[in-house]
Amino acid sequence: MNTQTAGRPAGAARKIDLRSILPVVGLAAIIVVFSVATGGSFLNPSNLATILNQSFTLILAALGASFIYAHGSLDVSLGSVCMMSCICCVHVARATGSAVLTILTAIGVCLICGVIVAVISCKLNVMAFVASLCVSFVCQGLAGELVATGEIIMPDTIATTFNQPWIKVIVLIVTVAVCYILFEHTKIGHYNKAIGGNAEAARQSGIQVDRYKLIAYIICSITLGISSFFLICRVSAAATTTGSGLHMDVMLAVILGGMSIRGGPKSNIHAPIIGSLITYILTNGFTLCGVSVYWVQFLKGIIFLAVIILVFERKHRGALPS
Amino acid sequence: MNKEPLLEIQQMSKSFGPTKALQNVDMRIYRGQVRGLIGENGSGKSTISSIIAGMQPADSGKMLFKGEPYTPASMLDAAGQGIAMIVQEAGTIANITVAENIFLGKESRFGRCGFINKKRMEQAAQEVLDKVGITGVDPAGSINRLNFEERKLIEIARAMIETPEILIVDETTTALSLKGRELLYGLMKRLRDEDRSVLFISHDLDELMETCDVLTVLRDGILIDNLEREDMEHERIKELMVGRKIEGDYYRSDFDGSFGEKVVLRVEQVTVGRELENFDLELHEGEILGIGGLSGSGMHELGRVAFGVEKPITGQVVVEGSGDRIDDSHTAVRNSMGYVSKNRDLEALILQASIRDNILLPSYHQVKQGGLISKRKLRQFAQEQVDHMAVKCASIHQEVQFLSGGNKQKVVFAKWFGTNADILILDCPTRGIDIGVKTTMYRLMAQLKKQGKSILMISEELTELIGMCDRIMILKDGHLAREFQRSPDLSESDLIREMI
Repeated sequence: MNTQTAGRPAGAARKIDLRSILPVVGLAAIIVVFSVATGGSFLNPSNLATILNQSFTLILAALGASFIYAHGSLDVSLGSVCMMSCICCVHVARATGSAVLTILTAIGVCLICGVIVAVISCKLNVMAFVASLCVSFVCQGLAGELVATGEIIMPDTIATTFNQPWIKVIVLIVTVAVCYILFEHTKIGHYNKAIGGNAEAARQSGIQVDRYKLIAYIICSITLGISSFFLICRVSAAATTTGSGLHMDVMLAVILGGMSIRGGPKSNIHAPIIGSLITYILTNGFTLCGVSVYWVQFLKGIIFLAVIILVFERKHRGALPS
Repeated sequence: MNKEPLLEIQQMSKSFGPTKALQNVDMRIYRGQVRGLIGENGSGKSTISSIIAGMQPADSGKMLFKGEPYTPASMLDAAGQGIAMIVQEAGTIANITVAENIFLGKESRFGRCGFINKKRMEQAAQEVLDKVGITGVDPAGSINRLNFEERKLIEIARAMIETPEILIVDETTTALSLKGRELLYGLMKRLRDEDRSVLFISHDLDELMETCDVLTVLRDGILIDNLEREDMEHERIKELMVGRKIEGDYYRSDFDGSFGEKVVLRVEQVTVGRELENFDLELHEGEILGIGGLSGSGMHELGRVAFGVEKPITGQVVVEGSGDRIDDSHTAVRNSMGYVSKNRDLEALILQASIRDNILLPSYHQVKQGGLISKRKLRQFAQEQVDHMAVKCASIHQEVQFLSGGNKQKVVFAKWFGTNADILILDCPTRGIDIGVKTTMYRLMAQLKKQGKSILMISEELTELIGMCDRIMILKDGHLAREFQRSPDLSESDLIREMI
């Protein structure tokens, strides 16, 4: 933009640029670093395929979740809902053997849970965080009952059919494209960002806040459902630990990708993708370098903190009105 | 004025990034003086006062207080040295008592072995309240029970614990009703009579001319002139502030006061809490209908109900054309209504969003191409509105929070111009806005009227109601006190008589 700026703190403008550029730069940097550190084996096609395979489910879940993050909801039920969905998938797959029904089940379970969270938080005015925490507990309780026999195994026919790279690539491309269009080129994305920025201003501009929050939850649930289905196809056995921590990974991805945890006008749709890749590449790269699993966790924590301190969640001191 | 100045400011400068808020300002404040400070938004008034009050340091320059170098480290430090400030935005803390608010940061004086003697603190608070002349407030009660105005009075009390040598009053009066203002004026007079000084910042020219001994005019961070009482004159001051001659037609010049026959919006027997009771109103095509009253009269609630922001307990608001009942803002917008909230930053704008995104909030359906929102059309649309309203900004991508008050308000207006709203509900549309932007707003309103649009203008400024409206309804305690027709003979005192 031109420089005869009336905008005040020069630092503020610079910080915004940093926020949108840093994730991309960071992603590029760690790719370079790990390529060098591993002597090129990081760039090995089979390793890249591994990264794609692992990050695939996270990217899908995070893509949809960025709609609810945009309007400022913090959902901690994603992990438990994913587990619930996986378990139901296995049951349906074993009972019917139908792939279509299994996929519909995966999405359906997530939709039910997502809509429940949305209704509790919008209609009863409970914080989304609390509402999703409750749903999360309910899911864990129910799941305990449903897997009383311990692990339950997905029938091989469906699992192997869908656990293929080319299917994943297609699904990924389609999901990214659809989410991009919804986020950038329809009211859904714009309204959810507006709600995250100032819900009252959005309401007073005629936006039906509850409706658009619900739509965001529906989108989030659909991608979570697809993600759950592919997760169960990949790991084939469902247990009460399936999908655990997914909500934290999603949060991490969204923030590392450059979005604010409070959502708002600067939310975007590439954040979940870049963030998910960063998360998995860090794990993968460190592991290839021979760092133990525990130290990887440790290092991820430190890096996450560093990123936050550098650019993101700190309140800058409000400049006084002149 | 051969006395030593109480406070002397020498060559003070301050910048925020590329913006020079103050440039080499010299100023002397003497004992026994009420010093007014006036200038447009962004002229540096608040910057200067905040530096004197210790909220931020200057970049360069010197201050001498009672002849000694003065560099306050914080507001508390400044207050300790005898310079206290009543700030522009509500500065009380919720959920604690009135007494605790008054003695915030000074609790230790009631301390004993690490505990606070509440009784003594409340007694002391009562003494301060008495001193200032605030009645009917219980120092032991929670601050939450007080309304906005009473909280503002508590802030005044806070500044008066130790009678300061210099009291800085920064646009406090915009939040006060007449009664509160009288109290503040009295206080300022008393300080002057006690040979102390007051630095009074306000947008209200009449108020300044009435209360101040010397009026300092700032423009773009530069001290333009100091006017003694005999030099204070409306036109001259405005000219100095803006830097050019302001044309005479500030308000509407016609006294026609006619409007269309057709009713466009009907408020029927509406009751809202205790604020508004069985209220009726008809807004006509091409009419500017003014609503005036004191802060508790229910006028703001009327605006909120009319736009569906608040739900009435009984009664209804109906748009005549479509017959729709306005139950929420969505229905209102769909019926081509627009609303400018009194709380601009909290309710009308998304501060961290760009100008573009704010303007487009109610208008995304207008920028579609093949069913999808087009980025190009989005930009075009926003740019058109920004140009039309002459919003001063670097680009449409600039965040709204970095704009001055007047430009923020222009963005809010641009939002509703974008929807081409037929019915506008404006709640204090020119509050805290400088003359330049005000003139623009008034001109726009007159234009809208000509186009046959209808405006419901709720305002605390009586001159603006008299100057702009075809009809004025004065509210008192939730009822219509009296209705006035547009007339050149209408005076402020006519309206005030009905308000109290």
